[in-house]
Amino acid sequence: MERKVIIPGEFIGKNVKVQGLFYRINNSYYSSIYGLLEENQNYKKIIPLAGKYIPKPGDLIIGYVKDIEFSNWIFDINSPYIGILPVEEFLRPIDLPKEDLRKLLPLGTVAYILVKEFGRERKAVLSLKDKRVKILKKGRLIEIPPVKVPRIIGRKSSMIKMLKEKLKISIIVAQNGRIWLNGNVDDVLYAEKIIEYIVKNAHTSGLTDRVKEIIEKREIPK
Amino acid sequence: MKIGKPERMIINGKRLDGRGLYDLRPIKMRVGVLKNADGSSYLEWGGNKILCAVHGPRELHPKHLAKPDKAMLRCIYSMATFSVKERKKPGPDRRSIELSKVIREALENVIFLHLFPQTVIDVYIKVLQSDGGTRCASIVAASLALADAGIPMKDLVSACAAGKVDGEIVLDLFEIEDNYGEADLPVAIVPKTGEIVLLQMDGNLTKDEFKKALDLAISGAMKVYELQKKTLYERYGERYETER
Repeated sequence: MERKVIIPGEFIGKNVKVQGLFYRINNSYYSSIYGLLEENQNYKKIIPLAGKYIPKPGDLIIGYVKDIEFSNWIFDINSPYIGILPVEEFLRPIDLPKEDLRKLLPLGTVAYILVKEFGRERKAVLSLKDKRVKILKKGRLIEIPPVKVPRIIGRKSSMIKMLKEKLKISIIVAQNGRIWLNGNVDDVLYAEKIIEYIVKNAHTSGLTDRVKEIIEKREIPK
Repeated sequence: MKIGKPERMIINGKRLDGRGLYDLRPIKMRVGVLKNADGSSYLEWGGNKILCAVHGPRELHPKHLAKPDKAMLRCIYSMATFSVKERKKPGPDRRSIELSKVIREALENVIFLHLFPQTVIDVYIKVLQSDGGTRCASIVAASLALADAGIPMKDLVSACAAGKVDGEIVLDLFEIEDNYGEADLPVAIVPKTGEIVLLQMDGNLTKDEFKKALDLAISGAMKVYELQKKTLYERYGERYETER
């Protein structure tokens, strides 16, 4: 698969299918960001090298409670926009104002949570009413650039499966660039170094095999 | 201490720093130099040394400044106290407020601000050493840092100044020529479309001289654009090529 660096304003092609951040003048397509261009058979894909997380309905993200209002929790979701968890989206019905929201989800609670809506108001409405969500109580939380998340997961989850299998810890990779690690302390700290290495070398190919080799030898990557 | 006015600034077709009339100063660029910023760049343009950091798009405080349909762009140009020969008093002054404004207006033309409503993109430009033509250098550095931050843009912005020294039209003035020359004409362009996004003039030029200076400045900016492109390609390109 061919990949090359592209810069803002670079011509991509005429009458082609393009995925990612681009702009169009008549039938000519231009990249609008600094990134990599992947040439596939039927379409071209722009892969960003940097950028912030913009919420999308259906995403699973990791956030923490940073404020509590009368009937909402406000979440920090590592994005330019805030996340709101209304009481209706809590695990069970809440009888307001008898119950104290501060006791249900206190400030600083970390949760693996679903983005339910993201509309024109530019606030991500979050929900705990999903089987996959989790309140994270124990573990280590690290942050990586959100654009590198697909690299940590890998093609058909190859990378993340390999990491879980080899390192024997539980890992949750959220779409907003936060990663939760839990397990043996030494393994978790080692995993952190491995993830750092993946982020640094995200633009190179053949990464999964290289990382596998490193882990098998239990080397500290440079 | 200011150097007094030299008697002549062009001798036998050579300028005081040994350049020809239409030569640029040596330029060095780097991107991704700061860890804590979302995007950053460092630029050396002759004696100018400029560091630029971009944060954002991020949440805007105070909230009432947020625009409902697009992001806000904030540029802060500042000179370090040690950037000039005599100590520069820190803090914004008339000149740096003006430069912040013109740089912001130049960059607003290329950034797709409508993609991030209610947020802010902060561009901090710090001049570590000044040697004339910092506004052009700042725009060049800022557009590199914006690209590095992954902010969607129509194109990079490129800039260069031209001016009149000893009755001759010259490219890319340095400090002494800027101070004692007859005119200075900084120009910033969007290279892809040829749009002019910054045009200022200090001094006097006749109509023909102005046209000549403008063409010269644009040709200078195009050369700078090539260097910008090269910098961005090489950051990932080289390593990418070798490891593939």
